[in-house]
Amino acid sequence: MLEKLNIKYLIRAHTVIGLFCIFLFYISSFFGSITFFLPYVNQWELPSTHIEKTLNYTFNIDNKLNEIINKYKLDEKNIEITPPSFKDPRISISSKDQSTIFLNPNTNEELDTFYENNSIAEFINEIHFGENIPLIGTFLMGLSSTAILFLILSGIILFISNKKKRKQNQTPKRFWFKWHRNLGLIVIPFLLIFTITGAFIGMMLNTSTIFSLNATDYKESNLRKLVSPILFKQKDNLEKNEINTQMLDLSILYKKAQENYENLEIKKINIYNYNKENSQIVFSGYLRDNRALSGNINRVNITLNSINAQVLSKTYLEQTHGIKQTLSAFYFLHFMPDETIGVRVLFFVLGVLLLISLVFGYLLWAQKKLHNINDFRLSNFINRVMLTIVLASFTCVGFLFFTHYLINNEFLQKDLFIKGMFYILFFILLFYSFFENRVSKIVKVNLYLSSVFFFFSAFIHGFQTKMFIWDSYAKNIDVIFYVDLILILSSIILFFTAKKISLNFMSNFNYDRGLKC
Amino acid sequence: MINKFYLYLNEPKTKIGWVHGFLACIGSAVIAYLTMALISSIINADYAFKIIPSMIGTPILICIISFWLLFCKSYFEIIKKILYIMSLLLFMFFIKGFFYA
Repeated sequence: MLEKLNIKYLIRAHTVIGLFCIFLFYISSFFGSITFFLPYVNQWELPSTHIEKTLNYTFNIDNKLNEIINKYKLDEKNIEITPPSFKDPRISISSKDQSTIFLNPNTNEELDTFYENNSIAEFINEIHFGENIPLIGTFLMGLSSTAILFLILSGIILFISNKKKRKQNQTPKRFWFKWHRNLGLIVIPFLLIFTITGAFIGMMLNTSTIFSLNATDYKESNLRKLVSPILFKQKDNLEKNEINTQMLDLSILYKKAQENYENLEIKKINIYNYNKENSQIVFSGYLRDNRALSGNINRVNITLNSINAQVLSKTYLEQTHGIKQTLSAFYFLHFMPDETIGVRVLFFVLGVLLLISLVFGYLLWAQKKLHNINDFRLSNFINRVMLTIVLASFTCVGFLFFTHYLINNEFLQKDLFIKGMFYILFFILLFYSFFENRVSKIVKVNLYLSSVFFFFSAFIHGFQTKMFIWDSYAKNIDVIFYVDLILILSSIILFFTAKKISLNFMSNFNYDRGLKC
Repeated sequence: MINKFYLYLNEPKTKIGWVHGFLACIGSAVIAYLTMALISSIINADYAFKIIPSMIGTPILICIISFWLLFCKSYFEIIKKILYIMSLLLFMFFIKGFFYA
């Protein structure tokens, strides 16, 4: 058991480090929790993905493939086809350095995606990774992940060390402390996954030069140059062949691949030397019984001869590089590329618990500082910044959804304009929180604003795409219906929460509390 | 003067201060990076095996070392620990360089 002095040291370190990284980590966790639903948000913001899932919803482009390749003059050396999935219901066809062509899987009609962009999904991801802060953003996010790792370990030690004492002293604990501790303990396994992977992605990838130089005896500093040929090696293009030979239909080859690799869930198809004598087709994806190790970084595949469907090669999980498997598990745990709604909802709930725990942890410190008259100005300043970060995150996300369909897609620089408006709104809310005395009023204004944004975003989406929530329900377009429904439900919850908040809510954090002192 | 400074460094602290915390943070980061960089240079395998595990291990090692440094009672103790470990690591770098040259 730790000495009393060490516990004292640990409590102080836990508080100070927590206070330093809570702002960044709250932002990262808040936007990270939304990124669990990014595939669905992505579909909501792209009208071309509003596709009905019919009984004949099959992947068969045999009659269309040749037409597309000839029409768009795709590079026959390597044509990439992505079948429809829960992330994107469209079929995409592309080749190197050429724009992607999207097809409706029901009718095989080409979809017009020229003016579409996924600004919300990209921007939320950017903020989550800290990419919106130039040069040092991702590093800072990684650094705060490392700090959270320290906080997890110190929290566990403090919990174990104080256990005995807690049993002896039956005095009632403060509300903030109790819930900060309890929720923190619940989310530890979840948080460990994300802090270790987050620290690796954010901090370590930015400081990999040290390791690259040491591993190469100071000859090479670029990690990518060293590791890419081992981990991300692509299949080379086949030798040029001028003899034209009709390849088998894609549907036949697809079926053959499934027969020969039953456990493989096909996510991508690459046709090499299309309709040439030596044409090959590679079906790659993840293993149904091992999604983690065969994730985005470590896909397994089967290669067929496109002319006679003969199996040329198969990669098994055991044959893949150990580090590729590790990284695949890492990325799987952080990004969940192949997981559908169930796990995403579970992780989202844990994310919300983490956010509440972080806020309660902050309040624990803020509550203590209330009685310190010397720190009055500083603690009030930090309180208002934290209040804005916690509440304006909701408002600004609502604003992102609201403006996405409000501003026409044809408007050039739409992305830049939305980002600019996002930051302007954030700073207006920050100034307002400094200006307004009563905390309850700041909370109310933020919640009402977010409620309005969420509510109208669902209806503006309906006006622009001609697909209101009742249309998506009638047409069985599940994802769009549920996203609209969640936007409206969030709006209602936020509205009633704002209505319920009394004027005395957290009144001890008002400015005039200081005047009374 | 030197004696006074020595006494100041050896004075046991009842409350952790900014210097103590700063030394623990910087010290743990430097030691963890040096240790993992040394491991990267020693392992005899392909670059993926040499580099990636070290990169995964560094943040975890930073946290562990920071606890070890945090529990020092005086500045002198914490500086001593950092310097000892760093000298040991640099000596091992030297040995490694000497044998691989």
